[in-house]
Amino acid sequence: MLDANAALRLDPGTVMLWRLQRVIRLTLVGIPTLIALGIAASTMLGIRGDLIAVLVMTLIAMNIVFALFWPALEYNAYRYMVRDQDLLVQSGVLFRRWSSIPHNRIQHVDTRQGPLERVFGLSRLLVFTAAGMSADGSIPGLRTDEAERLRDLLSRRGGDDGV
Amino acid sequence: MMGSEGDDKVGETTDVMAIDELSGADQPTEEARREPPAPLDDSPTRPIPRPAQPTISMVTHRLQNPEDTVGIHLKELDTVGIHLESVEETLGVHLRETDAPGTDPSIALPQPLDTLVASGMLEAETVLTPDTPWKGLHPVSLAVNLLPRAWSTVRSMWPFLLFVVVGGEGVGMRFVDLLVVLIFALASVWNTFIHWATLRYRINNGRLEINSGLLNRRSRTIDPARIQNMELVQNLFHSWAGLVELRIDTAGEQNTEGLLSALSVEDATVLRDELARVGSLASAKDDENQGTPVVTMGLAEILAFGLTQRTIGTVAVITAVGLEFMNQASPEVARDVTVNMQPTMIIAAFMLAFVGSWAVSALTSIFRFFDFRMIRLSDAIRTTQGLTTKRKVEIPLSKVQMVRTDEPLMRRLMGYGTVLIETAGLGVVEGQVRQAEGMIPMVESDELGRVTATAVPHAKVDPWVSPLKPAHPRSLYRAMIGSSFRGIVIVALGFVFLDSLKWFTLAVLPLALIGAWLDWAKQGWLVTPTSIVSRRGFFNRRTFILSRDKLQSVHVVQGPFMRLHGLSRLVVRVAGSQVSLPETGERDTAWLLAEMAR
Repeated sequence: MLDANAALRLDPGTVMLWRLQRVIRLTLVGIPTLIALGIAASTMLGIRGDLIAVLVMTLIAMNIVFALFWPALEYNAYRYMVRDQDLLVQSGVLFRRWSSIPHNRIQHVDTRQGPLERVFGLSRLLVFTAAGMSADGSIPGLRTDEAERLRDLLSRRGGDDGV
Repeated sequence: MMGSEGDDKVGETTDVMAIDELSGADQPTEEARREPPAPLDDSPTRPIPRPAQPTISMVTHRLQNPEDTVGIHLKELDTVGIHLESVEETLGVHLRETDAPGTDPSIALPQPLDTLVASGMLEAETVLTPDTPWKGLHPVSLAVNLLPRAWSTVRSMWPFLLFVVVGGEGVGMRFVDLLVVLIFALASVWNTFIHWATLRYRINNGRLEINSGLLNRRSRTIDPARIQNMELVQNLFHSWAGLVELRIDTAGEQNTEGLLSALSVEDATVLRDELARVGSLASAKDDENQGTPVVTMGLAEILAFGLTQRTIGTVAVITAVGLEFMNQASPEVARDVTVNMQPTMIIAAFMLAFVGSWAVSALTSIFRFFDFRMIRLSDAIRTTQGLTTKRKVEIPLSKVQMVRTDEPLMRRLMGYGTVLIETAGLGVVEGQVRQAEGMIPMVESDELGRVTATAVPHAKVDPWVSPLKPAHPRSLYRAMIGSSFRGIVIVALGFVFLDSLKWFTLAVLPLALIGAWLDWAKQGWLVTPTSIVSRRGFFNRRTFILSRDKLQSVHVVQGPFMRLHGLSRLVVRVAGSQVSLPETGERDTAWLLAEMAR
């Protein structure tokens, strides 16, 4: 569906960024939740404490492994391509998605950068059409200069927006 | 090639910024006039802002280097001299007008030149339309609106009211509930009062300006060319007082952008005609009598619509509410009833609920759709309907994004279907997001093609005549697996919760499989050079028709199981909604994606 040779890939640094983001989210949200659930299960349901502890530890370990290897797969799945008529983006590991956004329907293009992304020198590109509230196409993990180049390239074309 | 382009762009960005400073004298006027100041907008559901006027950004792109700017400015001064000097704020308009011919030829024109010039002509005409002075709402409209507004607020809070009437846990709670209802009713009365007291509107420079608000001031400018649809509503009180309520929708926001409640009929007509002169609405000359009638509805058809409207879901809700009511009134009796209830009793109760809900539904549809007629004007569609509350909806044909027809099994067997016309304006009517902007409740099955073709003339397709392509055979397999899983869940629930009836739930399994097959068999899609058609569902058959020139973006989605079967689904987005096609095989999907990119 997408010519693998012509398509562009994200910056390789994205894998590390996503790993870091997942690990941070895990430590802040995932692990506390799992521990809280474990404590609740052992006190309220009266399940043996050591059994729960083993279960929670396994789950945490699985989550960490997942957080480390999944971003590589996600990175592998991401491709994008600026064609004559449209921008084509492929994404998703399990649920794959191809988005084609015609140039003349692009309303505006954003580049965004969070604090962690700034450290890595990466930006996200969001492409909006008149279709809805959310971005129709998004490309994360672009080098900031590449994101800005794409933004300028894509936002330059005009035309009837069909609304 | 891309890299070098990128380098150019970086250089240009700085140039544009410098020009912004140079031409500081006229740029602000342009922006100040076009965009209502953002902080004034207090609506919480404001979507991500998008440029309402792409033309503005086009201007900035044009001004590539200082020489160009000077050239354009000189021309601009000329035009100002030639045209009307006296009119205020013409600079912005003329800037747009002059930028068409004097552009750098190396930059591709975003639109064909003639349309730009045409829009330039339109702007010139805009300047010539007389500006109207600020006007307020009709003095009587406050008195007329107060009662219905308060009533609709109270009605929308019926769960609270139920508690007030039935009174669950003692007198104290009842008082609190009553207080809540009262506070909301008062707030709505207050809002009505503010709307009436502070709203002022005028037409300035061919644009509708609406100011309102006491503490949160809101000032809104609506470009008539951007109006997605306009609704004129006249309830019983309005028609007694000779008033009418105007609702103007533009693309984007959740709320109705321009609400004028209420104007005298003469004022409303004048305003509508003024807006129509520059905008996309049907011109004033196109009077109702001159349009061609497309659909009219008789009383029998309205009743039939009401009877096929309600579904099992509503009945379930009514039964549940009834039981709850009984529970509140006399708990002992209720307990006896629920415990000792025989299957026949349950069925009888359901039948009663069905009949009741049908009666209510038939009655409300008479009130809503009495004297329904749809008229095709030269460039717009107009529907009128209503017994006590009269509604007139006008949708410019150029703004129709999509047409959907609903043919629920019952209605289909009676030989009818419902047509819904969607624009990009998402209206909220009486607190509920409206499904579609235009609705034609009952259209005879063999007329559906003609009616939908009236609404989307560019699509040039009739899915009731042209054969649709079927969904991929393997998607039947997927649908069957999915529905068996759902069936097993229902059966399991039945075995857990039902006692004597549990063996009956096994019947769900074959039914689910048959349902999946029927759903699959009735799916279809069609993509022609001008249109996209998608049909889904057997029990509630829906056909989506859209014109290719309205397409905003195309997506292909593929879950893990779909990949296993080599299937994927195409999702097409237009402004305001999206449509997914039935599942297609790899070759079809690749073809579709390539076709859409053309």
